[in-house]
Amino acid sequence: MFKILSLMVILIGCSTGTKKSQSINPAIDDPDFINIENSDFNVVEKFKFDPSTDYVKSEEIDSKSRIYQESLMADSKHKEIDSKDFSVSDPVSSLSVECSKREQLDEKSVDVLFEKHRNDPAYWNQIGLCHVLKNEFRQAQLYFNEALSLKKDYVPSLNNIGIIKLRKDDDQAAFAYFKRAGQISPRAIVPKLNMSLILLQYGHAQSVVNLLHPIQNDFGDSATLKLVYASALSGVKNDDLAIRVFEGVGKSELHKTAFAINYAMSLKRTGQKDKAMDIIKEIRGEVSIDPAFEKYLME
Amino acid sequence: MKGLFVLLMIFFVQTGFAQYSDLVKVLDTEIYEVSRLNKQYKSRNPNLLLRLAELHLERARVIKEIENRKFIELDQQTRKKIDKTKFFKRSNADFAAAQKICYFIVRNYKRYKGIGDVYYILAFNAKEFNQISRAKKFFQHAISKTSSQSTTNNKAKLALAEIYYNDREYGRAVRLYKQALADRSNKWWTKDAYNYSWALFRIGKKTEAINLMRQVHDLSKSGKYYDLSEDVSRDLAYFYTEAGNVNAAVGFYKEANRPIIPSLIKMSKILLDQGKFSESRKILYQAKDMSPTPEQDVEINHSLLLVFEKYATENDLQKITQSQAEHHKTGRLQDFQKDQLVTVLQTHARTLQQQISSRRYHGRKAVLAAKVNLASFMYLLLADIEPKQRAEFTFFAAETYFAGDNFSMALETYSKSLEMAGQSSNAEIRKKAIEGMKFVVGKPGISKEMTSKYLVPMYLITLKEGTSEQDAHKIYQRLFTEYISRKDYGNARKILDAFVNRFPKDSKTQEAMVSQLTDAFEKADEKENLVKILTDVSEKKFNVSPLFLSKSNALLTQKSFEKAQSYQESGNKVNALREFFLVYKSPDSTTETKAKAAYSITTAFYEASRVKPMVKWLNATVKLLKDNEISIYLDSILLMLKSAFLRRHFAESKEIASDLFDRVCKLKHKAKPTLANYLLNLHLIEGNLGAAVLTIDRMERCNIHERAIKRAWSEIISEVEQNQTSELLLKIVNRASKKGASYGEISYVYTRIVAALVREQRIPEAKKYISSAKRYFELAQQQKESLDLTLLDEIGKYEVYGLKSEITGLKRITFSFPEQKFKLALERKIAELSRILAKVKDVEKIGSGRATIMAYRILFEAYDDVINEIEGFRPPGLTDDQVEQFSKIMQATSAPIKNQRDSHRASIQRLLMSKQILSSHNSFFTGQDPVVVPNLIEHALPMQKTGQF
Repeated sequence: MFKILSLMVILIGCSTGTKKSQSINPAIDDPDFINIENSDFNVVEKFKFDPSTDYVKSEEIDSKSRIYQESLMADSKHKEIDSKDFSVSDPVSSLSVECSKREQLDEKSVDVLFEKHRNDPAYWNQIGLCHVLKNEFRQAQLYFNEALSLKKDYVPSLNNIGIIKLRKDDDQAAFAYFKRAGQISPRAIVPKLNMSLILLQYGHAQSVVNLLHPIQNDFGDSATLKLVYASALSGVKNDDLAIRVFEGVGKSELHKTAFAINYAMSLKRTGQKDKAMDIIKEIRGEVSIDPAFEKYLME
Repeated sequence: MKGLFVLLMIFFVQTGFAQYSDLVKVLDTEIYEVSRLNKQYKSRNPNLLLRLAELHLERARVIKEIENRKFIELDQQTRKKIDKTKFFKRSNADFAAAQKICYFIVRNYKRYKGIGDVYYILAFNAKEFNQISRAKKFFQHAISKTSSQSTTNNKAKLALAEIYYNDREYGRAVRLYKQALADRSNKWWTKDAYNYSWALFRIGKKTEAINLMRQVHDLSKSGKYYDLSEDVSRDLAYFYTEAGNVNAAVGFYKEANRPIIPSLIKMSKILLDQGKFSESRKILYQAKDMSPTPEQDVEINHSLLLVFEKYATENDLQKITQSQAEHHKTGRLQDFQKDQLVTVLQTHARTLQQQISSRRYHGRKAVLAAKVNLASFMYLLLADIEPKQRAEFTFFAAETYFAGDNFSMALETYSKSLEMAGQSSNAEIRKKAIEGMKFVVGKPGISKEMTSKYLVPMYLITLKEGTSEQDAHKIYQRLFTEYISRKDYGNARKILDAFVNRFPKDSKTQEAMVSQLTDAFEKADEKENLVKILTDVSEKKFNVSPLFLSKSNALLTQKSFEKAQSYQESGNKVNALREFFLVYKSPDSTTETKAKAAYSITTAFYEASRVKPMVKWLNATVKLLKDNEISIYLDSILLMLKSAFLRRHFAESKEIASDLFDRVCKLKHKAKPTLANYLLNLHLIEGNLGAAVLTIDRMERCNIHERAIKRAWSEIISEVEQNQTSELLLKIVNRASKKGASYGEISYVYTRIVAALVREQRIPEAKKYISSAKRYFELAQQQKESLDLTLLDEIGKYEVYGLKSEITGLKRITFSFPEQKFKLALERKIAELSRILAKVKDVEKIGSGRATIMAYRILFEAYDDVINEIEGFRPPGLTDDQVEQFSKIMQATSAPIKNQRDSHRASIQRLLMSKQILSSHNSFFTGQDPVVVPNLIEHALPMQKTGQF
């Protein structure tokens, strides 16, 4: 690297003067050479990555819902940020937010932020994330790798590689990445949520309870976390607690998700057959219900 | 009477002619009275006659004076024409009357006692009429007829001495003077003694003469005598000089407090007249040493120059002419003195020049040099003295130097004459001077500095005034060379332009001159001038060959490059960038220069964070750089290339990387694997797995180390998915299995091939490749490779498929009676279960949790089947009671099998819980109600940031 820099210094020179350019030779007909000023060569002060400040900043998120400081893609926020009015105060996070809104990267903003944030793993993570959203997994992998090259074990990128794996139907590899992310950052919520979803899928309800119980106070208003936790509780037949947690989820969220079936199961097991059926009725429009299950509830 | 005569004489002498009329009247009256008395005595009284003669004589003198004055006042022409007899009639009449009376006395009164006085009058009269012989005779009679003590005797002696003196009969004169001047009472004694002194001097009695002259001087100063001190002091100088006693003369003048220098000058002239040049020179130098006034010095110089006409050393000439020339400058020389100086200088200079030109002295260098210097010196003095001929005389001086082989001075002096000729528009001299200078250049002793100093003006004038084509051609080149050697590149350029204007077709010379000037500018680091001339060459302002033009343009490009670099150094990066662009665009830039310019442009855009142009120029750079240059820039190129694709210019980056990779293929460079990795990744980003595989081929061809190739295979294989075609996957595996990929990776690809073939419904082929997958898997295990979980799952799955066929065998064993048959079937079932368990254990060893769970499920289902089969077996023909009894027996028979199954279930439960095995068969073992989980992909969350803690 030193040799590279030396060579660059020789050829570019070390000065960063901001002299006004003189009148332009008429032979210079390329706009790239015309629309440029000495100030464009000014060295931009590089952003210094600090893990303690690496969180999503927005006035529109509840500080108690720590999950949103890790990801605005969670549950209802995902839809909120799709609205035009939603904004985040840190420009790097806004890259993925804008990508989520427009389904493509805001190249201009990416370029504007490049010089300052080229050594910021969060910057590359946002770009990778945008490619994930566009199912451009190899590109996404490139940027996550770049983030990890800047900060080894950068948790968001590890988690997001897990997302790639998940989307490529390799849930075991995805789980491994989520697990690793969770091990590196035990207080990180998103990797735990992602692990929980996989574990729950494969019947490891108790593992999910064990995983989420310690952090239930950090759920904030995250419906997903509550639904997963409640479903896990239902899975281990801790139905009373499961019902309480399910009831902590807003109806607008609850009535749109298949997790509500788990709620119905707990209600059924606790003798609340009618209520269980009501839930089934509420979600029928959103979720396909196995008739056998419905029959089971009716019994 | 005598007293009156003397009185009149004195009066006449002392007062001049102011009162001559009165005197004439007095004399008239007395002549009248004496004549009346004479008549009364009837001319028998000689005293009266003598008196009358005296009066006539006196009146004749007075009138003669009056007539002389009038005569002098006449103009010359009148004087020539006038009849002097008539004009001097009155005086002559009185002289004649006096003479007639005296002759009368002499004839008639021979014994007259005053006869001596009569002779004196006659003598005086004869003298007056220039009858010198008669005068002598009468003065001698007067002397002999008078007493030696008488006044007349004395006067006669003095008069006769004077005649002798004038007749150069100095001996006689001396004798008479000696007698006559014994008495010093006469006021006029000084006058006669002065003559006496000269007479003495003439007869060689110089000491006596000097002594007498000094007496005359002393008495003259006494106030009692007629003052002849001025004459004496003048003549004494001569006497002393003649006596060879100049010091005594000087002493005399000092003592007498008289000016010495004029006297010395006079003395010198005397000596000069005498032909005594050496003495005269000596006196004059003495005078010169006595601090003469400038005017006196002029006179001294003048006298010396007179001497030098006859006798002079070269040193004399140089010294005195220079001195006189300086006086000329201050305006002290009179015309004759200036003329003299000019004549002397011309004469001697010409003589010297002739001597020099004769080459007689060329063997005697010192003599020759002295002559050359003096002659030149004289000509240069003449140039100063005669402004109108300044150029000419200076040219003569130059010619003299040239003749004397003093070429350096000749050149300098020719140059001066050329300059002067220019000022005075003397075309002839200008031409000659130029010719002279041309002739001198190249002669021995002409230093480069000299040539440099004088050549240029000469050539410039020559060119200005017009010369032949041939001459001009040479002159332009000499001038050009001269300016170059002087480092006067501005004028060299002017000469070049003038040459081009005059000789537009002379390509060869123009080239040489441009080349010289270019080199000079370059050496002097005059960048702007260098670029200007190179630009002019490129704009074809000079007639040069295509090859020269090409080389010049290449240099121009190089200089433009340096200019750009200097902009960089000064911090003006925009100008630097633009300058590099111009270099790149220049049709005359070499590929090498274009490459460097392109590289610099790329780095500049990189620095300015302008990714789009950076990519464009990076591409150009890679295309232009020569193979041997690429390795120099490769590290920084890769840095920029990485920047390009990180900023999502994937397609362009891939093209650049591909180009670059070809270029560095045969080079030894540590960055080659990195470049290959970039290229590979860019192919993978593009989803072009085939191109990625070909990249590995290229890596091998380019001798990239095996470790990097293995990594590349890993990258490729990590992208291998089920939806890829078997054909592509087979190609990959064929390549991967030959070199580079690990066994595990090859095995993995085979599993993907199997999946693809199954998807393509090519089952028999799929089975074939299952074997391959397994074979490589085993090899991987043997090599203790770290294996991907997916591979383990796939291999495990194959084993599970085998297990299922085993189950078929188990099911073929059926229970039947008699009992012995049943027992045998039961034993076979249990043995088969054990065999299946062993197979399950084998699957478990593979390490795939999923396959293990699946295998156990098959085992468990086999257990259940066997248990259900045992417990459901009813031999035919049994009563109900027998059936119940048999059922109890069968349950007892199946119990160990159940126990075995259940023990396995507990361990499986622990396994899947502890290992968090993600198997869809988990619930089979846990017995838990299934938990509904919506679409994982929808609910799994990406992370934007680390989050707050």
